[in-house]
Amino acid sequence: MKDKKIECVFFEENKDGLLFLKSVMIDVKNKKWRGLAVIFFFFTIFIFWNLSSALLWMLFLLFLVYEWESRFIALLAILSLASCPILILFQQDVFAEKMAVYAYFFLAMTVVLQAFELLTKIKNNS
Amino acid sequence: MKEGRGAQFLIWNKYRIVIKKNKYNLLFVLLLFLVLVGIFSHQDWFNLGSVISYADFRYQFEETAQELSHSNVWIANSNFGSINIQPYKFLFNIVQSLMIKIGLSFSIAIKVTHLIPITLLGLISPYILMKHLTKNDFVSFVGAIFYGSSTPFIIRQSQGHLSVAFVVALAPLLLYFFIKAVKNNKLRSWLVFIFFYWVGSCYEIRMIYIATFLFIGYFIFFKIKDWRRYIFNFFITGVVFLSLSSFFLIPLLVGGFHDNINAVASRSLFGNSHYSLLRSFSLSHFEWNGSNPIAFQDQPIMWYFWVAPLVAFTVFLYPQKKRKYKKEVLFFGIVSLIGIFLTKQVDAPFPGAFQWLRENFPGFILFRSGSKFYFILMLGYLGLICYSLLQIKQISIKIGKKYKYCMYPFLLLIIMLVSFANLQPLFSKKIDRTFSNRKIPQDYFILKDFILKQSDYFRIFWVPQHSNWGIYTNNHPKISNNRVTKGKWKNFLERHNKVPIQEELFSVFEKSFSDNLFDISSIKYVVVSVDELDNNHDPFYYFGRKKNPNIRSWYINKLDGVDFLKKIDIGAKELIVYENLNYKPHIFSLDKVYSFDSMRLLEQKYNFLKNQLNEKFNFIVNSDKNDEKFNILSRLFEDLSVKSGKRNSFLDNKTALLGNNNISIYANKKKDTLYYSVKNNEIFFYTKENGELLLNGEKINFQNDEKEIVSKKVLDPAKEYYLNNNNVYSLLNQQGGEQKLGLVGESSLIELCSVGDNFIKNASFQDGLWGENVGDCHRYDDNPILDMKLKTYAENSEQYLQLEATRHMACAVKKIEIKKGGRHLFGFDYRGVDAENAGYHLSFDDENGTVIKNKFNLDSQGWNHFEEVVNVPVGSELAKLHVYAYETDKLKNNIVGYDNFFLKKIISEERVEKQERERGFDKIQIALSDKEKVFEYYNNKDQYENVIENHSFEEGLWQEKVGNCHRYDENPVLAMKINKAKRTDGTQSLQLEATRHTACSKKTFPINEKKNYLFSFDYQGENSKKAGYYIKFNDKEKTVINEKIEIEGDNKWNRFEKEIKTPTGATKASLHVYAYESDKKENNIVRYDNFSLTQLPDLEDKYYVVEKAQVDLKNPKKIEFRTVNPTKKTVYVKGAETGFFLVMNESYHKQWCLNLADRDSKKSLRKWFPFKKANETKKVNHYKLNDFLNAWYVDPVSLCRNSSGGECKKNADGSYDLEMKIEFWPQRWFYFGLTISSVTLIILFGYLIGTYFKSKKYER
Repeated sequence: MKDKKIECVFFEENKDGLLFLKSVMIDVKNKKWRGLAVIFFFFTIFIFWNLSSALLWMLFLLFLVYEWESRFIALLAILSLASCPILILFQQDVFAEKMAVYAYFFLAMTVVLQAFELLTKIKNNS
Repeated sequence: MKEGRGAQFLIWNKYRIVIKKNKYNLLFVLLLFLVLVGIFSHQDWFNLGSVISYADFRYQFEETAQELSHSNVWIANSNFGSINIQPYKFLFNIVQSLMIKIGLSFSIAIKVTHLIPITLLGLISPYILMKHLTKNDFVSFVGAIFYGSSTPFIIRQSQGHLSVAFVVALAPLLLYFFIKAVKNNKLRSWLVFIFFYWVGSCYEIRMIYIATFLFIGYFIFFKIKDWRRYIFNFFITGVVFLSLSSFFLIPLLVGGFHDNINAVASRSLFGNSHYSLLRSFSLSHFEWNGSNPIAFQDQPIMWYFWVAPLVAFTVFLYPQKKRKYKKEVLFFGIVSLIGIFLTKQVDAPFPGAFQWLRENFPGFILFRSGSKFYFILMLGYLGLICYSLLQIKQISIKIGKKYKYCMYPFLLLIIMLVSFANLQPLFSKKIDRTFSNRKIPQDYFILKDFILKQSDYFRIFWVPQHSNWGIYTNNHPKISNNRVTKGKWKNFLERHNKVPIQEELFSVFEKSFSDNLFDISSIKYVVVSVDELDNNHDPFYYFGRKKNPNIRSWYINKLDGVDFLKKIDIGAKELIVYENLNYKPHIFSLDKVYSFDSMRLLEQKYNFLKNQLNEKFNFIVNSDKNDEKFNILSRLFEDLSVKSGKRNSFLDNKTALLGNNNISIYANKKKDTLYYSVKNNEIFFYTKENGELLLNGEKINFQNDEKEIVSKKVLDPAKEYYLNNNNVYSLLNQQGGEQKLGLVGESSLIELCSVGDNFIKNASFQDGLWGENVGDCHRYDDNPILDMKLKTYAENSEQYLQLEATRHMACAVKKIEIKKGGRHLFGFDYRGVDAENAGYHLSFDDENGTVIKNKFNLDSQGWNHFEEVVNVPVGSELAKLHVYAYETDKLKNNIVGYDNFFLKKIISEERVEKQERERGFDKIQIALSDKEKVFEYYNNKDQYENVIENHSFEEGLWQEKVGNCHRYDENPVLAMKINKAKRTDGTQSLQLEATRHTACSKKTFPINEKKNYLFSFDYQGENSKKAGYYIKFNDKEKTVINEKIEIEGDNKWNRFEKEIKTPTGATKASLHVYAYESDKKENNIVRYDNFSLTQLPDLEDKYYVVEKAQVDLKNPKKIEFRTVNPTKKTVYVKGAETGFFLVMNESYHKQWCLNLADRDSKKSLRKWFPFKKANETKKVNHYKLNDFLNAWYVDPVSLCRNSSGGECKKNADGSYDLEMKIEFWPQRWFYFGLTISSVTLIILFGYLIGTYFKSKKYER
């Protein structure tokens, strides 16, 4: 039991991992216009830039408009970052560089989203 | 087991209780531990007797270091003196200088001002900061160890960048003072902060500039809402900082340093390949290898460097709602991301951002690499790691005791271990660099004593560079061979890409004017550094050591042959010293100075002055300043791009000539042309002038313009004759009439030769193939695809050899019987079909196994002829010839044809000794009118036509597909097309586009060797800032001329013009033009049009115009001087009858002023007053002598006209005695600023001490 507790400690708010997914589903269902706006934005970026930029922007905007917890993006950042030394170890330097770029983007998203969360909280408190 | 764990918990609990009770003891223990870590990791820095010297930190003898306080705005002890654009370093310079003056050594002084503070602050200041922020001793302690052991910080120290390292060490403390000041907003706190901030700026102002943004960011993040509360303290703090910094801000702002600062600031980005996102994330310096770093060599990132960033960023995984330090974490997160972004330099993402910031963000141009931003990243990680550890502690508490006592200490330990892994090479002294004690070779002490016992001013020239141990002072400045070659003397030297560095350096001794250059530079001694391989201090390392281990002997042997130097014995064992006996004093006078149009062809100008006019080589380069004081020496037709309407006619309008009757024109008869012609089986060699010189439309007739026969010989009709023109052999033209051989002075050998029989049997394949089967000359596997056959010419029935290679290398072999060694003419015809290369290999059976081989590029499908003279070795009886077809991509069939081989003995028939005849200049005196001074050179015998076919792309592109001239991966995005809308000449232009890689297009054309050509083209850019070209010649050295050109304005046509000289032996040149990638996203378009490569007449050293000065000047009887300080010298002139030039051999700078000494006001403040320059400066003109020295024209009559003091004295013979002063004016601004700074510092200390005692009193 205690071991399970450790695994979930970082995600205390969502004691069951499915809970987050469930809340995602509910948000998407209830706030469709927000989702549509993000999808529109996704296609715009996809047309003018490229797919990876569009996906990253979409991820960021989804977390922003639905106010999901940014630490899930932080988790992606940590995973991307942790993959770098492994990829370097297997002499996959080009992939390692790409993963580092993703890690940077995810961290930047995390910081911006957390800043928003903080601002919202300060606003609500005031 | 359980009992064991329980016991551990009990001990830990007990320990915690003890810690809590002895809070101050713990602080003491941790600080002591940090100090001990510092001492043991930097053992030699704490050894007061050790000598530290490496790379950018150089040891100084006390005699040098005690003069540091004089190096305020002008550094006089190196080279020819230079502006000090870092006057802010005066703070620690004066401290070091004072310490040495009271008897301490330089080693102690540098340890007090730099080394010990760096070590201790690097560990203690992050501890103080994090202790203040986290209130946790252990976390702060671990953070401090992490900060002090980060590799960018250690490498900075090891490279000797001590000022930068000092600010890196100080930065956390500065942030701590700032946070405290922001928190309590008391003036006292702000003043404490600003004092340390100012100290930091006196070490390295650029680092403080970066830190300033950190402080601004902190304020915006935490206190922006209350900004009104801070206005008063901000204002006071700002004023105090500006006042404290007046001593460097005022000279920098108003002292006229802009050009010098811009020159440093405008340096391009450096070391892009050393920085990457991976390195930034892992905070791993590119040189770090866990042992002694190798300069500028990239090392792999070690795995444990990833622990710290992973721990740091884990902080974001914890729910923000439950985080105690939300804002702080976010702040340090942003700092880390900014740090990563800037230290990655031009790596993805946003590779163009760093350069954009340099171009657009104020002050960012001062940073040419991301390395100075590492401390931002270090601070960010410091904060994140500490908060992450705190958070893990918090989580552990929630989970339960078992994990509480495992996870948190475990992570503390991990970070400690990772940090100590970085410090390990320091503990074990594996890193040498600045961390180890050096031994000064005894010879340098002998040299020091030898130099310092001489009181007169002179410079010491170090070959190849100044040794760290070489003495230098303001009275005996050092000059480094490598510095001066690239610095003040660079315009005297021609730079060649392919010349080895040692030869480039030594060229300063080999010029005809070298003696003169050394004399006027006051260079008395030339010293060759000692070999110091054991001391990790090799002065020859970058100057030839890599290719020649005995490079020092090479330098010494060469210097032994320099006739103006004399080797002397100073009693040293290894140090070699030469003396230049005729060096001039620091300040001297001249009565004759020449005015040149440019710095081009200085050797010829020097030889003309010396040999023809018997004059000294003192000159200025600026035709605008031509006036009656100067003699004018002007080379005609320096710019051959100016043409008249006539073909083959070149103009030169000499407006600078004053037009008096003292004008002479000189024509160099060595520049006449040598010809031959064959009449009735007799060959005649003769010289004659090729073109004609006209002045204002009228021909100038020199003497000896007639044809002059040099040599003649009757020819044997049965023999085949060749002409050897300076080792270039060509078939004698017996029917073509007059044939040009080149200028008389340019070639040392003209030889008429005949050739014997061809030793190669079946040379034209008339008897079939040389062998039955094709040979495989590169059999790397068992799948060759090769072929050899005989082919027949379409126009006749004759045959040639065809080799084909798809895989491996096809070859045909022929054995050749040799009768005698010596010069032979070897050659053949060759051509390629879909092949890139042809080649041969000729080997001899002599003792040495002599081999001659060559590989040719195949540019077209037509037949090419190859011919060269080979020296067949004596004793050789048999030669073996291989000819080849090479494989390319293993798919394409590469077909090469060969025919008409020959190897014939060369027999000398006649040598034309044209050099023995004495030829010099013909002189003609002319009178010029005031208005017209147009010279014209006209030559209708030579053709000056564009050799580039399809120069304007009217016949289409130069090649079918766009070339890729920088293929670094498999994803090029390039294009090439014809543009009909944008062009300058004709109807079309070439358009190259590059998004990724470099787009290029190539054109090959014939040229003549050793000729001057004018190369020009039009270019424009769209989104592109650079165009470029690359010309490669087919001479033996494969000479290259290339350049990147800045494009001015988008879609605006620019014209590029350059005079180039083709190398010896070159017959063909290939031209590449480029479009370069920028950020890998933008499409960089460059358009080219109207290419031209036109041969120019060889008018170098051909015609000179000399105009004598209108006034006769005389040197004064005596010049003496006294150096007050490096920026002020008093000059005593005795017996000046006329005007004269006064020279001071310090680097030219417009802020050097010459005035009459102000005797009347010696006791007044006027001599310190910086606001208005003395009136006398208007009366003396300041010139740049010989392109680098200061010279003034002094007219004693006009100077002394209004002089009332005793500085001017008229003697009975009508001559004048003058007392003058030479002064570097910005020094006055320095003194002015220093006064403000000193007063402010006293008031600041008074206030801080006063308030401190007041608060103590209040507390009591």
